[in-house]
Amino acid sequence: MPKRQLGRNAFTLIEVMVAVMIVSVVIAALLQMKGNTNHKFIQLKKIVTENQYNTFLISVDDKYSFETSNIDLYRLVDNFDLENDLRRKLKSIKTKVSYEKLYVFDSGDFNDDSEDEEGEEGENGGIDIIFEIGKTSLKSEEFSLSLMRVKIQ
Amino acid sequence: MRKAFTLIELLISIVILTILMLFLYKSYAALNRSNVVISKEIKKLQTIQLIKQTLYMDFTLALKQLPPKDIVVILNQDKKNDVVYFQSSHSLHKRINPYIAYIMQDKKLYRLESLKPFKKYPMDADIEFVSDYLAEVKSFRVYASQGKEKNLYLLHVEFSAKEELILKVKVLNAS
Repeated sequence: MPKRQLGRNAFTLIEVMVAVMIVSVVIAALLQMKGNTNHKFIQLKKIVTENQYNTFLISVDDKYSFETSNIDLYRLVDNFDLENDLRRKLKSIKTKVSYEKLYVFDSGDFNDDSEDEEGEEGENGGIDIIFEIGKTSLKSEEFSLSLMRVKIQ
Repeated sequence: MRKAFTLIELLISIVILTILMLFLYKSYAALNRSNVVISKEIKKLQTIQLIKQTLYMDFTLALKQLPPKDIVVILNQDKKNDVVYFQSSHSLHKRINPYIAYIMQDKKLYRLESLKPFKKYPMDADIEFVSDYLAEVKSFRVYASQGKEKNLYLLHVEFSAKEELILKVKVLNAS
């Protein structure tokens, strides 16, 4: 028997190691895939549940829209005569409401610009309307939500 | 001539392959099982989102009634059950400004749509409506605002599937 053929009879250490590596990578990827889907789904469910608290920020202009305060969630809906269980539950969720100014748009500036470009006079003449675009955020230990607002002055 | 594999070598390789296949199959089966569970849960979530959307649209687009009538008539039945009647410009059945009622019967929530106003509960026998079954619920409550702004409502639905829906809605056509 020639020497070269004899040498082919056994796998070398490198070959065995490469094979083991490939198999372990495949198994690891499969296990991770399973873990990922479960985790992502739980996250999604949580987001869907918590997102609805966003609507609590509607029509609270006179109270918590443009300032920062630490409150429980019930304070945002305290003008409703809620059932005890629901009230207790909302009271137990502590949140922080904060307002952040994002952009201020002065119609006076805009009128000046349009006059330059088109040579026409702005529609509202001398009246200045200031649009303020802001973001009210609701933050707790578990979630963080925000609502965009436009304030007209 | 090439040296053939011995029986022992073959057996060992088959055993190793079997063990590998076993693990692979196990993880594949688990993946399938979790897929079934997740798709069921997602269906539940989708239903809830649809209900949320319907409720939100119905209440937001509710129509102003001639005073002294309220926009939304809330007939409280017990601690866990409210019946609500109102008129809205949102319809699921291509009707113009239908009258809408939400009722809960045998722990099931229904949405009724009619061209004639609902007046009392239980309803008259001759009233015609289209009913949509929404979901199995533990409680359905609608709270009206007690504050200065009268056109705010808080909806609270507890589903039998342990999910919960809390929505604050503002009626846009109120003023």
